[in-house]
Amino acid sequence: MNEINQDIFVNFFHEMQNYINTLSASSDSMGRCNAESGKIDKAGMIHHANSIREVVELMKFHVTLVNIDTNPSFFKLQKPKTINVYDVFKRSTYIFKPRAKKNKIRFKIESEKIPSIEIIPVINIVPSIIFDNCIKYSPGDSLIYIDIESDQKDISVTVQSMGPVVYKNEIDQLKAKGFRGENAQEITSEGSGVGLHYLKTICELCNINLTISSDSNSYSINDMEYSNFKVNMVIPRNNKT
Amino acid sequence: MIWRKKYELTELNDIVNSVNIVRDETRIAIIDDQNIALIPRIKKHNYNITHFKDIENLNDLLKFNIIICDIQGVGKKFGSKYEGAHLISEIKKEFPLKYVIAFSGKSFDPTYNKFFKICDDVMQKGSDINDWVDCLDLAIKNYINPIYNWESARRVFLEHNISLEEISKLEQAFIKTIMKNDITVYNKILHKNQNIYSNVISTISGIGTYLSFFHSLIA
Repeated sequence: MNEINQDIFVNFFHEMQNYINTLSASSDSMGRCNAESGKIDKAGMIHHANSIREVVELMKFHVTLVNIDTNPSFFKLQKPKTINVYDVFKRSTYIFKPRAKKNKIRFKIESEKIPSIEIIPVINIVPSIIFDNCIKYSPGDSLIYIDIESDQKDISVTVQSMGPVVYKNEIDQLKAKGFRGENAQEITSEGSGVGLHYLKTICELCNINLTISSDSNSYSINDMEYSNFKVNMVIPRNNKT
Repeated sequence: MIWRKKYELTELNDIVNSVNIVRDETRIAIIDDQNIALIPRIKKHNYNITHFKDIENLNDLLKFNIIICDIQGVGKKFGSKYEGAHLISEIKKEFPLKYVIAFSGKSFDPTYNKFFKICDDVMQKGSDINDWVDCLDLAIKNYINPIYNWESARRVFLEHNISLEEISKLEQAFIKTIMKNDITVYNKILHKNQNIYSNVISTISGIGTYLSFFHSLIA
């Protein structure tokens, strides 16, 4: 195997350990759903089963990220599948809903009827990368707004959320691996500045045109300047991935 | 002078479009030393699927149309350090027209890309039921598509330096067999040219197997 950046695996193991803890807690709670009252608590079981499903999805997400880092060509070898971009985003909102709820963040998705397209399946993790970023940096009581439109040529997906102001000179660097904006570093030590780099890599693999922008109008919460952060992706309907 | 009609591959499109995806008539083999928890659910979707922990020899796969093969832990009898990856390359050599999907937990490792490249598709371990259904439906759709199969065969012929004239003759026989739904058209050209095709006999016989399968679908 080729030499692999140690940081990738350190980060990966850290995430996996968190997931193992969550799985362990869920399976323990599931056991107790059964044992304590002597009767099966059906609602409790469903709740824990759902949280296990969410963790599994997140584990798959992190495995795919390692894959993108170590062997991006692999995804080019997958055959394009018929995928509906709306379904991909909708499904991901369910996965991230519990985490968003903890931070009092809501999802709103607006979409017209979107045609399915032929595209390589790695697009499935695009919303996870964006939502992971949005939840990390959005202030509480805010909204992640997803707008999906289609014309004869393209499907356009725009995700907007509130985030720490990104200075003009930082915008282009956001897609560079390891780069974190000055204000993002102020808000949280979480994050290693790789999310948007992965997003850029996947967009390149899928022939998606990616634009990232941050509004110049800002407002202050707890001495931090926030503004609207926007990720736009234009996906060709006749994709030649 | 006798003018013979020259057939085009695109003329098969109407026939291709008239054939439905036949999940239960397409035989799928999965070779994986580990248990695949989703197999009962995959079968519930009407796929005709058989799970092998490993295979003894390639003939075990004769009757299957689509083969899903793990990269690791299988192909032990074939004695290569690349295990399942080596098995995949042997399957493709012996049965160039079988639709082969690499099923891998080693997708992070670029040393395996050369094996992934010879496959018709690749699927990561940990795929959910939707991924399986998408992957298998596409596999069946491509497997029953004569144009997909002919293009795979043509690549093998070119790699083995079969002349363009011979390839063109085979292509005409292939198209005509399907359009007339008469396997004897293809068999006739084989009898005439046995010596020319000796280097690509597995592909030639793969086309014959495919044509019989296709014939059974539209019969």
